[in-house]
Amino acid sequence: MRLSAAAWISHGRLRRRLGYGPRSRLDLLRNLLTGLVRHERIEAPRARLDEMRFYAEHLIDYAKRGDTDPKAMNMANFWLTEKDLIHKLFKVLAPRFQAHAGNYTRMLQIPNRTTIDRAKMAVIEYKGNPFPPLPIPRRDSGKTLVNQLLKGYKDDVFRTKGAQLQEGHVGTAV
Amino acid sequence: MTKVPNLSSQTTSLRSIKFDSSGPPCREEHFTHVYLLLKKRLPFIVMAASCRKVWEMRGACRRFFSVSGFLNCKDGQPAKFKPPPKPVIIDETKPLAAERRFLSPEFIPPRERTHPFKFYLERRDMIQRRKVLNIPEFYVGSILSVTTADPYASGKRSTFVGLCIQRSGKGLGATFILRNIIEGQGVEVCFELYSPLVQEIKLLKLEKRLDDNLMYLRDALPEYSTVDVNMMPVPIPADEVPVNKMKVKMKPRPWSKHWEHPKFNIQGINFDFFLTDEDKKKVEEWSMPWREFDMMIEYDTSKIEKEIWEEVNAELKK
Amino acid sequence: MPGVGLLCRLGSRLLTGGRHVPALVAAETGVGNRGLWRVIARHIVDNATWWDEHLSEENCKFLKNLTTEEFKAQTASKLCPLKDEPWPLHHWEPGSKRIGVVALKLGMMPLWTKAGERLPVTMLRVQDCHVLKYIPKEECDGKNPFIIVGGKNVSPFHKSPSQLELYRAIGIPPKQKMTTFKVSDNAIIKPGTPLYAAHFRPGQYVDITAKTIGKGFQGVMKRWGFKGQPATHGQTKTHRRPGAISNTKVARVFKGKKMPGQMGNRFRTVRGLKVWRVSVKHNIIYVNGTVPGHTNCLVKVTDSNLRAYRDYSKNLPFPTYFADGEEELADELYDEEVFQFTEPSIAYT
Repeated sequence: MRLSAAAWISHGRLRRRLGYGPRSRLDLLRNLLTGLVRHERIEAPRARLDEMRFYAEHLIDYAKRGDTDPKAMNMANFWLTEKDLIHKLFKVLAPRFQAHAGNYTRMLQIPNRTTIDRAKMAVIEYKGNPFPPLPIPRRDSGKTLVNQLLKGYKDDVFRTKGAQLQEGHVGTAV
Repeated sequence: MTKVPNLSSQTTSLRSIKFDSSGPPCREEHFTHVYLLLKKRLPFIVMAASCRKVWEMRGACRRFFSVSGFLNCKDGQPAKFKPPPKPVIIDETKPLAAERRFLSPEFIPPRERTHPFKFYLERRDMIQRRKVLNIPEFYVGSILSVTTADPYASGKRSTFVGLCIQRSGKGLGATFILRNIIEGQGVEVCFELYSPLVQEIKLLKLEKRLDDNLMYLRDALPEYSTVDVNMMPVPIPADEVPVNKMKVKMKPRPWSKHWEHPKFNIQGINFDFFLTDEDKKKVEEWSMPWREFDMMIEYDTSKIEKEIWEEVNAELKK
Repeated sequence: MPGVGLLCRLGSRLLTGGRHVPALVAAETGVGNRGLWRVIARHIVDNATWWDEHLSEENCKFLKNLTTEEFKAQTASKLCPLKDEPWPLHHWEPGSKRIGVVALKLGMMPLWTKAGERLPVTMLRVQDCHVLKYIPKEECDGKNPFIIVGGKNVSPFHKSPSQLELYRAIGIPPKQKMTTFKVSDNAIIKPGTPLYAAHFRPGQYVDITAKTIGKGFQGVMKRWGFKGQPATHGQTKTHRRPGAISNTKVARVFKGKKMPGQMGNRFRTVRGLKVWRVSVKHNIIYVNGTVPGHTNCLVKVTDSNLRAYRDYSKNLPFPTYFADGEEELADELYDEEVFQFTEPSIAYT
């Protein structure tokens, strides 16, 4: 009884519980992923997309193995419920990301949905799609006062460091 | 005086012979003499050399051994003959086995949030122990003979011969289970791989089975887990580890576990003989065909394995 | 296509409104983060900012590099602070109490004794452990001076300015955990001194305090190991309940009665754990048995306060071990009983 306490209480939860069980969870994500591959940009509840993102990226990893790989083909067959997309996955998406290693998707949060349950919503897309770019929040430009002051300080530091290196003081604190 | 090249530069033949390499280098003209001497003693070298020219063999000889121990060359006069030192025969089948790049499974860290440094520390101790005790490459399904210190046994040592049915545990606490039928009674002994009580682990037969866990042999007919106690070691195959594709005959049900359950994924039993159609329907219900497509469950260790193998191999060679 | 329409509206409002509709600003989730709780949700409505909100990426990178270099330099300069301005060192007397360390729980592994017995040990890593502050006894309880010790460096960007002030005064990087040790008068150490695993020696006994793994609100069976009630034989809704909690004569419930409640997530101390092995090179303490807390939690390690082991610190480095090369130590220190892996296998005679 005591010994099993640790087994009962799982703290390192790795995944969300969606749908009506593990099978339903995958079916749900599978439909979302098929939609993503079809449209290359979809919006859905954030939690689901966040779960789906992992599979979306790993499916590309599998697709990169090529359509001659049986495992990759099985995966594509399972995850894409509309079979005409298998061709798109191997012939369009996989070559597009051939030069990249991971990080194929972009996910942004959008306002909560107002109709049903005010769930948090998000939009996910495969990078390099033909749509107009999403309004990604940009960082403040370097023109503000803080950034300019910091830049000046940085230049000072590098100058003193270079001078020290020339004099032969190596390894001193900045 | 000619210089003798580096002794370790040649490892072409299957077996190499090493002579005592101490002492000063000697003249080249005596090598033919040595070659003739060798010809008498070691016919297989001659076989290897028969397809080459003699001078080539002389070069090979020079690389393999220095002969100064039994040829004393003063002013170019051959001195009194001394018998050559006893050759040390190095069996080079072992390096070939190492080329298989076998990494013992307990070196692979489990998938958890422990700091990798912890596994590094354990690995250090494991390598230290492996330098003292030779732990051979073995798999579930191999036959081993393990000698341990035992205060109650006669001679304070006991040896157990059995079939390895399970390897479990990671790091220093790794264990393996040997099973045998002794006097009609099934016996299983769980050994700690790195316990200092283990005196010797001898590999009698290197073999794999269709499954990674042979616990179902408990419910199989006894002849499948019976191993001859006085078994002679079977020579280790050099290239590939043979896979024994034997299907086991089980005792009538009920078994200690539902071995037909898809979670065990047992290939070594032909269930057609033991399950009715109703049972098979139940097994279908248990199956979770979507699991193999859940990429979150996959744990790809190939990269970690490669790194660890290189680290361990470099340490063991020191 | 309501989604696309919403998106277009969002885009147009962002383009026209710019920063005036901050509540609609979408946030990109972290690049490499796939964890569930690492999604950065941006709410600019309140005044709270994070440290790099108004910095450009170059400046952010520069500041990070700067602090790491600074911390490295600080740690290097504090390797042996006794040399510059030493506090007087005293000798051990009966009743002296040394300082302890803050260590990281790495996990467990087995060791074996020379008799062949298997020992489960916990590995504790002493990582970036520094003395932070000395509080003289007049300012605390009046009996013993306090020493605050910190362990495991963390980023300074997520600490409050008041916390950072303390670290800046001493000149060491900010720490994840701070603990207080009551020490005797003769065992005080100058703030800034680094502490090492060699502070403890094999063969001695230690007490370890840490926060146990939280298990939430639990019933009586799991929390206290009650037996519960039978599953059948006419039980109605009574299977895991405690049963009677008192009797009619006393007509009240005694204090401390074992009841359901929060289990775990509280500080617990285990006492009298033997140190079997110390790795001086890697700063690891191998302590007998289990230690409270999950893996990778920070624990507080002190000399054992049990009466039997209280005078054990006679032969230990007092007030602590200084890595100034005065004491020549091997890379690994073992207890006499522990089997070392370089030795040949144990054979009984």
